[in-house]
Amino acid sequence: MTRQFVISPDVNVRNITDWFIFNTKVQRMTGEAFHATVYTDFADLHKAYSEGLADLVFANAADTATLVRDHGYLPIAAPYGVSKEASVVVAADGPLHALADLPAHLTVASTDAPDVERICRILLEPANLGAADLTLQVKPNPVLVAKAVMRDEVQVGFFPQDAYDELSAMVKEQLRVLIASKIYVVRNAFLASPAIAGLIGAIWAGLESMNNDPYSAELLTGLGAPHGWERVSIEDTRFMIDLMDALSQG
Amino acid sequence: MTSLQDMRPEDVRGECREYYWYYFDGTSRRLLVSDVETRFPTGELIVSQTDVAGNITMCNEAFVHMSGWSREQLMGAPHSILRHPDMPKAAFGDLWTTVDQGTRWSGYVKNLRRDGGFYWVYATVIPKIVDGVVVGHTSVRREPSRDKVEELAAVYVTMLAEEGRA
Repeated sequence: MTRQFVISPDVNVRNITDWFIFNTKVQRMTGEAFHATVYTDFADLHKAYSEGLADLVFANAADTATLVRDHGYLPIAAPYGVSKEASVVVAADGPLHALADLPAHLTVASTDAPDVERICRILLEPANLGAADLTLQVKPNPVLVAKAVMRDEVQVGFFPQDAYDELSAMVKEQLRVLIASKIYVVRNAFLASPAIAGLIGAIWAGLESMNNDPYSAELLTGLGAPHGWERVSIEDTRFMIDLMDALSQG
Repeated sequence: MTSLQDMRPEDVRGECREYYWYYFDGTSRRLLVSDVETRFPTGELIVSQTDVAGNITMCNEAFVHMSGWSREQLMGAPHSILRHPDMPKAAFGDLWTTVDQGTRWSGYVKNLRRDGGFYWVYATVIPKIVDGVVVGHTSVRREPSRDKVEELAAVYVTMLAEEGRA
């Protein structure tokens, strides 16, 4: 029986090849067949979750909370010392230079990464901007978010920090970070569906051996885990669930 | 509840006023309060967790920095170590009534620093539920809107007067 390995669209998709190499490692770790899918759209990803087509998942924090709380997924590991941050970005030559410059209603471009949107909405709260004050345009990827800001189609863009950092120098010259998060505790994690709970020990043993293997260093960097992996406990994920709940604007 | 030590003049920055908190268990705490504000660090979050008794079990670096206490002093201490005398009792009453019903509470809070100064936060508190049982609380605090701070500061002055603490 082939298991499904699912990678979230907001996870370092520039290095897709590394994820397929990693999938081969997972198959060696577990002795089971895994089919890897790097999703480019959150709607498709969430459909896979609801249809039970996600056994091993590398998920963002918002999806981690949902999968653990509502679907009984179990935590395995997370990149050591790597947190997910986000930025609210404006046009470099535009009139918005500080939060105080923001109007009472704001047009926003964003990908549909739920944790990034949640963090960026929080960043705008000190400017008295709540959920009802934002009109959101969802774009398929960060490059199109950047274009929407540069072309004045929207006033601000929401970016995962790593995706913003990876934009070309020419694009970044036309943008400016208005405010950036420094939260440190939001992160992506590997999760196992209840169907493969018996494989968690083998997967963690394999991940831990990568930490100590100099030949895995390049791959770890490509996967967004330059310092290796650390075990994630149920308690850690409970905290992430509470954090995501607290950050949602109810 | 773990007793809190009196605040010490040598720890306080700026001119201060003296208050005493009296707790249900008969203990009291001397507070030294100044008008020195520390602004919330932009882009950061203050995160902490407590057990059911309200004692701190986890806090992040921003919590340590903003409170002025060391992590060692904070761990196991009552969360009320941050309680500022300018906060009305009714505001915390609303918090606990809401959270005890299993729902989240959000509001603007003026917190007390170890040095007698203060910092405003927009706080969200949610019950930490394990297997259907509340085992503690998670609190996330973020930068507040200054307009809201001014609005709530005035509201709290009125509430304090109504509590006979003006």
